[in-house]
Amino acid sequence: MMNYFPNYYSIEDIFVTQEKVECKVNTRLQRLGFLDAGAETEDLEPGRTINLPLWYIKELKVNNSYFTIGVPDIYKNVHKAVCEAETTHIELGRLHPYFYEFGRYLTPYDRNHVIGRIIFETLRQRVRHLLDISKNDGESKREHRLDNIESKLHEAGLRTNTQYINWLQMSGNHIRISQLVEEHQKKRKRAERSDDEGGDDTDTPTSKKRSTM
Amino acid sequence: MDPSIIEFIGEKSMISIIPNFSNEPLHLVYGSVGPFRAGFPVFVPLWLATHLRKQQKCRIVPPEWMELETLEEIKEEEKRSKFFTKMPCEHYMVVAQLVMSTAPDDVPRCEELRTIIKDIFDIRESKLRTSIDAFIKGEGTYAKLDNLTLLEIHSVRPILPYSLDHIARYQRMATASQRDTSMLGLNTTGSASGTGSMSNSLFTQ
Repeated sequence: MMNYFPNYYSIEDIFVTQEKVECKVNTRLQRLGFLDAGAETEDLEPGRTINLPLWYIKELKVNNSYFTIGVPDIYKNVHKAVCEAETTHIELGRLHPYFYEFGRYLTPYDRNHVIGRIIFETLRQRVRHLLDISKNDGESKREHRLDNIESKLHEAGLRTNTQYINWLQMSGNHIRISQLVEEHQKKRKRAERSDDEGGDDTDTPTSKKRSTM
Repeated sequence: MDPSIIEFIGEKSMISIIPNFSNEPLHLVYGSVGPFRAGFPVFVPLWLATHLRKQQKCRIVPPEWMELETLEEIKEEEKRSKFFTKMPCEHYMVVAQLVMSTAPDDVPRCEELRTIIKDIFDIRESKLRTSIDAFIKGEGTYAKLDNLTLLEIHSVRPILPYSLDHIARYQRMATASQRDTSMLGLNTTGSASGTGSMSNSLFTQ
């Protein structure tokens, strides 16, 4: 597994940018009334609030004159927890499945500069927790507690742990004969048998298990 | 990196065996071993030792550190010290694991040793996690961890570098957005803190 970095083709990035963001309209936008389900006019009037997808918003300039982008409430709530260093108790996944990435996209639009700090601090405080839970168990997976990025990190940690445990118990990872060699040996054996030289089994290739077990 | 790869690397370390056969030196790709004389100890790589032991052709002499008192001391030292202490062998876990699983009869008090080595590993591992936590929450831009063995490093990979990547990304984002406004004169808090230097520099060993 590679580490996650958002790019044009990554499905997570597409999911994140599908999210709707609340925006306040600042100028009269002609013939855009259809964006607002409750509007009766053909134009979009200033002062109204509409939800626009992130993929549209993120192409706009931060100080564009059309919309003011509102900060979602989830980040305001987390702010308090961050200040109290109690982030491990937040059920991030329930707040938002893509808490960090969503926040990262919204960072430039937040005039108070809280979101950027919040996602940074939250992850910083929760890494220890992630390390701990990936060490301890794989079974009690409480999905709603972790955001998408966190659960990926968690998975990576779990995998390392299982590998280590398997190694301790000396299970798995037996060296096998490559298929090519196996085929070749079969062929040779068959040839030998047809030549009727049989009875000489000393160099019969046995499927050799790992010698260092 | 898989533990089996670490095991492979660890298998190159030398160990003493007492063969019960005599033979000319073996000329291997990496060098020669032997000559073997029955009853006389000889140093061979660990993989050869386990191989010969399985064929009942030798007895493995446990390394000096594989002894209860020594390991007790190491364990106490490890508990006392804030830093990682130097292990007697760079691949102590691998050597212990291989020797004790192939030749439990050659090691006196094998089970007790197994427990104590596991204890040492666990202490070091939790110490590693504590220092990672301190590092991530602290202001430092790099951390130096000496005397860690490969298997211990393995226990936090790849989750640690991945996490640091993410943290660094969010930190860059946060400082970048703050810098934008500070240039506009709205926010005068400095943005001099080192931004991107955080990722992947934890293990400088």
